[in-house]
This record gives sequence, C-alpha cells and structure tokens, in this order.
Amino acid sequence: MTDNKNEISFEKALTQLEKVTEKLKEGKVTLEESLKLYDEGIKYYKVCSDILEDANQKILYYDKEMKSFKEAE
Amino acid sequence: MKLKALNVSQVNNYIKRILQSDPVLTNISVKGEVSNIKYHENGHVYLTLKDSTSKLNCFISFENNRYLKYELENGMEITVSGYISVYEKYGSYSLNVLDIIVEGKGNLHIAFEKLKEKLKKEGLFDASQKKELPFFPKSVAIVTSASGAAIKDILMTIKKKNYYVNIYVFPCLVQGNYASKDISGVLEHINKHYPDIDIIILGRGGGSMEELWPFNEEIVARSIHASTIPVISAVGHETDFSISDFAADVRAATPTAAADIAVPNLFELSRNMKKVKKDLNTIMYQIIEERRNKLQKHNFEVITSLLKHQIRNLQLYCNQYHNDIYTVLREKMNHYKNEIEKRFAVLEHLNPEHILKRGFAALINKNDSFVKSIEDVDIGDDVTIVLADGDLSGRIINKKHKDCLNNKNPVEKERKNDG
Repeated sequence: MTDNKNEISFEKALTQLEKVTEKLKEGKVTLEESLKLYDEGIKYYKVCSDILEDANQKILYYDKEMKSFKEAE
Repeated sequence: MKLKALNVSQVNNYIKRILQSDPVLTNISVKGEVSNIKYHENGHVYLTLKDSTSKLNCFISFENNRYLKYELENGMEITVSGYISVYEKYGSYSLNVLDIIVEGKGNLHIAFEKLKEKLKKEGLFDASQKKELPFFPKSVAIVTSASGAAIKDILMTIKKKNYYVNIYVFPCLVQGNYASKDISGVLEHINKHYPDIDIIILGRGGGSMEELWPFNEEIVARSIHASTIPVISAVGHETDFSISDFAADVRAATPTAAADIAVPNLFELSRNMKKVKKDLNTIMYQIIEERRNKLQKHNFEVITSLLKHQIRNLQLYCNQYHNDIYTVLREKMNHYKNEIEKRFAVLEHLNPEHILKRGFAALINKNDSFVKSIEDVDIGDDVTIVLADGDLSGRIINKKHKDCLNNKNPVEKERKNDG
C-alpha cells in the first residue's frame, strides 16, 4: 500500500513508452533526438518490466479485533 | 328465564377467546386505505384501515415495524396481514399487523423505489459523481463476507490475471439487520486509515431480496458516495440491481465481474509491452538505416562512380556527334563524286575521238593547227589527216569554196554510198 512517490508508476511509464514510440514513428525528429527518445523508451520499458518482475502479491485479511492484517489461512 | 349477569371483564374475556380462536381471524389479509396513522415513541405504529363504509383499527408492534423499510403515510392503499387481537381493557379489537404489501408490491420493493428516487434527486447517482478506476491498481480492498462465495470468486478471478495487485480483505456482515451498519463502518474505516488503497470492491453473492437488503439501505449508499476511493458494487446476480450499484462508481453484474473490471490482465499487458518495445527497436533501426543510406550516397566511392558515369555519358555524347559528322561528310563526298562522274560522262561524250570513230577526220596544217577553213591552207601545202586509228599525210591540190559545190553535201553523198 505504501507508494514511493519518487518512483514513476507503471501506468505512467507505459503511457510514456507508447508516446515515445508514436513520436519516433512520426519520424519528424533529428537523429540525435531519435536516439534520445529511444533511450527514454527503453528506460520506460524497463520500469514497467521491473515492476511486473518484482511483483510479490499479498493477500491479507483484516482482523477487526486486532486492528491489523493477517495472512490468509 | 333470566340469564345470569356477567361482569364486563368476563364478557370481553369471552369475546377475546372466541375471536382469537377463530381460524379466519387468526390469519387474515385485509386491504384498505391508511388513515389516522400514529408513530408512537416506543416504536409501535397505530393506524386505521378504512374503505368507503367501514373502519378497522390496526397495530404494528415495534418488533414488526423494524422490518418496515419505509414510512407509511395516510392515504396509501395497502394490504395487511396478521391476526385479530382483542384489548380487553377497552373492549376493543384491532388487527395485529405482521406484513404489509403496498399497491400489490412488497414493502421492500416500495422501499427500494422510494430510496432510489430520493437519492437520485439528491444527485448521488449522477454521472459527474463517478470516479474513474485506476488502470493499474497496486492494492484492492474487498468488502464482503469472509465465508461467502463472493470472496472465493473474486480472489480466484484476480489471481488468474494479475499477480501484482495486493488484496486486502475486510470481512463484514452481508445480510441481516446489522449488516448495513457494518458495511458502512468498514467503508469509512478503509477511507480513513488506508487511503492509499486504489479500489474497493463491495458485494456479496446471490440471495433473496431480503438477504440482499443491506445493500439497499441509505446508510450504505451514503458511505459509498462519501468514499474517496473508487467503489465497484457487485451484489447478487446479473439481474439484481441494488441501491449500492447506483451509488457506486462502477456496477459489476457479479463479484467475479467486479474482480475482472478492477485489475488488468498482466499477461496481456506484458505481451503488449514487449510488442511496443519491439516496435521501438524496429523504428530506431529504420531511422539509423535511413541515415546510413543517406550518408553512403555522399561518400568518395559513390561520388567517383557518379563522376565516371557522367564522363561516360559525355563520351557517348561526343561519339554520337562524331558519327553524325562523319555521316554528313560521307554523304557530301558521295554527292560530289556522283557529280564528277556525271560531268565526266558528259565530257566523255564530247570527246573528239568519238567523232573520228564515226568516220570524220581532222586536218592539221603545217602550223600544227586544226584546219577550220579553206583559208587556213594553201594549195601545195603538206597536211596531216587525223583519223581514229592513225594519221595520214596528204597535200592540198585544189581548193573550192562552199558556194561553188552546187550544194553537193558530202555527208549526204556518203549515206548514198552506204545504201
């Protein structure tokens, strides 16, 4: 539940990845800008894939009396 | 015979026994218009049911009133069922109401419609009130019974397509009189203590309308509306519509559908991501190739070959001209050659030797000049007679002028000799 605000979210990274790809597709940028965009795209891809690879799903049940979560039995 | 007089209480007690043992009166259904309704502070409700000619006192006890989900009003057409009870103290009887049906519908339906209309008027269900669900939630709260079918369906559905999202289950009552308060409390608790949760799924599996009722209560609707976290409502089956559904940001037909709506399919997402990355690589490769091609168009070898090609073209051009000029000259030369030959033929034709061959002779005097007139020689002069095949030597022995020849033409004379 804790959200590191410094880290870019999956959703944003994916949107950026798609945006960068579209911009490259348009082909209206210089070679230098293209390379920069490409690097950016790869960076965003890595953010996305890292998030998916590091996934560690938790399923917790709230205990009203203990006022805390516990693992599912 | 005079009957023994009974006291009042005995009579009322007797009437009570008669009425309360009658098979019709112990389980009776009566329809009429509500009038004179009184809500007592102890929770009992008193009303008079009437038609055009008669009235019947009715009583709804606190216990039964609790199940009444809406307020009765004077003038409503209702059908009540219950039993006749007698109040001995006042010698009166009334209908003890156990259930009420309004205008042919059960009271739950009426309550549902009334609350729906009320909240709709308040704008609780407006599209502008709906929050958007995040596309990629990190955490989902599930508010339902810990033991029901719903939680199993939801967990299974989420786990099948999403191995990332954290799931927080908040068990609560989902039926019975205390459920609505419990649900409302849990919703508030989550919003207050766990505001980072991205989506709340609220719901339960199928059941009767009574069982699903907590999800039609105002308190639940208001808590859903107040939630800053988006709420997906999933109550019962596809055909069950609840007030919760209307108040929620998204209605799901079933708990399974709610789980499906809440989280994205990571396998699909991962596939798409890889495809986009592949596209990115392909496009970048294309861009570089394009530039490389452009560059190659301008390198030394290409320029050299380009120049060579140009030179070759110029050479061909020159050759062509050369050929053209040669052709023109040759034509001109032929022309002159023909002209010369033609003139030569004419000249040949005029050659005096031809004349000699035809039998004419030329005379040359001592001065080596052609004799053209008799004046060019004198009698006794030696002359040379030139014929075609040789020369003769002769001497002039006579001279006669043309006028003295009597028109005797030597040519004509010669022709006569031939004939």
